Amino acid sequence: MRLANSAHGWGLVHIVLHWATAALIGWAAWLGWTMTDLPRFDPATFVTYNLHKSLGVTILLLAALRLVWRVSRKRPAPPPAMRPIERRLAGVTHASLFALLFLVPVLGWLTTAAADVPVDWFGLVVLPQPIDAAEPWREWLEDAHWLAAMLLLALVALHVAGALKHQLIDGDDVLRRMIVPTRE
Amino acid sequence: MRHLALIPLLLAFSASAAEWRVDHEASRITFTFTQMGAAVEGTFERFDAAITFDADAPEDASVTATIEVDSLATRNGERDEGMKSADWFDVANHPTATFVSKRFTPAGGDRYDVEGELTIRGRTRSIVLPMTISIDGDRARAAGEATLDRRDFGLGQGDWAGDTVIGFDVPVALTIEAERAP
Ligand code: HEM
Repeated sequence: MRLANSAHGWGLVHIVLHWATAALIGWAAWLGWTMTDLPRFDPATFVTYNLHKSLGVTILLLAALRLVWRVSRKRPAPPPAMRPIERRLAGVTHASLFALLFLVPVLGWLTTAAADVPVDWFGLVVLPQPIDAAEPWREWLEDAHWLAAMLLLALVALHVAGALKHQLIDGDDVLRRMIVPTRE
Repeated sequence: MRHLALIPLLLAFSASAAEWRVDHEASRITFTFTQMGAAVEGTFERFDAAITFDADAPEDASVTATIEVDSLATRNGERDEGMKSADWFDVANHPTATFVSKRFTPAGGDRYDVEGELTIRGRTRSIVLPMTISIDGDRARAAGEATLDRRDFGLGQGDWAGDTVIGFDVPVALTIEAERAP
């Protein structure tokens, strides 16, 4: 079992980062979706929001790690049976997912900074605020964060559909190789 | 009856203890609380004070300050409303907070320990405010800081009783500038 990727498949590090990000997106999105219905000024709400933010910041960190890991290592080729248009679609989806893994958390962070509410990352580190309090920007940023998150989830759905097509229709090893680390 | 003769003297003396008018533009009351472990700052925008102070007669100095709690501002409208609600300042029932001084004790140079009664949310506590008071002609500047425990005043009821989200210690800083009353 390899840690690093190779021309034959993904290594353990890439696989762990991929599924950790997937799980965190699901959890953060679920909290984001439900937490806005909680009583607005309540300690439990602050704790829930802070968890949402901690998960989101972790996604941002993992995205940065993935970027470093991705550009500096080899990667397996797409299955030869894929048509150029499919490769393009996969490429655009992956690039957009990547961009949104940065954009969604950054917009969330700006939202909370505009509201002058701190982020205490899992109760361990209080993060610096990227911008000063700005009530007039707050609503705008909230909407942008929500819109970007919805776009991210839509792309995740497309991404999952693609993986299932590879598995169930094409019968190739694209999904399997994201689960089992390569040996060579 | 010979003591009666002292009355005009006393009156003359108390009149000499200067009275001051707060310059609202230049004066600030800020408080800092921790929310999720990070410092968040708030201010009270409206307050007034009756101030009598003469550096030569600190024993006659007095301050009675009234703060309009509704003027609380923390750079987040929702949080402001939350802080004014019943669990916190309960503005509906306690629209003002007051400080009434009891004694100014000189602490060297232009420093004084101002002892007095602070009333917030209907609860009164004795506190000591270390202040620096400097006078330049007809202008006075007073600055001081004291850390309050929000529990002493019943701030943060119900689910807020713990300090998971909002801490107990609240440093309060005052900067008061005043003009000598004519
Ligand atoms: C990939 C990561 C993230 C996802 C998928 C995500 C998703 C969401 C969603 C779906 C909402 C609900 C929007 C609404 O209904 O208005 C939301 C709200 C929110 N998110 Fe995120 N989020 C992420 C990262 C972050 C980060 C890193 C922060 C802050 C550091 C953050 C701060 C917020 C805040 C403050 C809200 C509430 C806005 C409001 O009050 O309406 N989010 N998020």
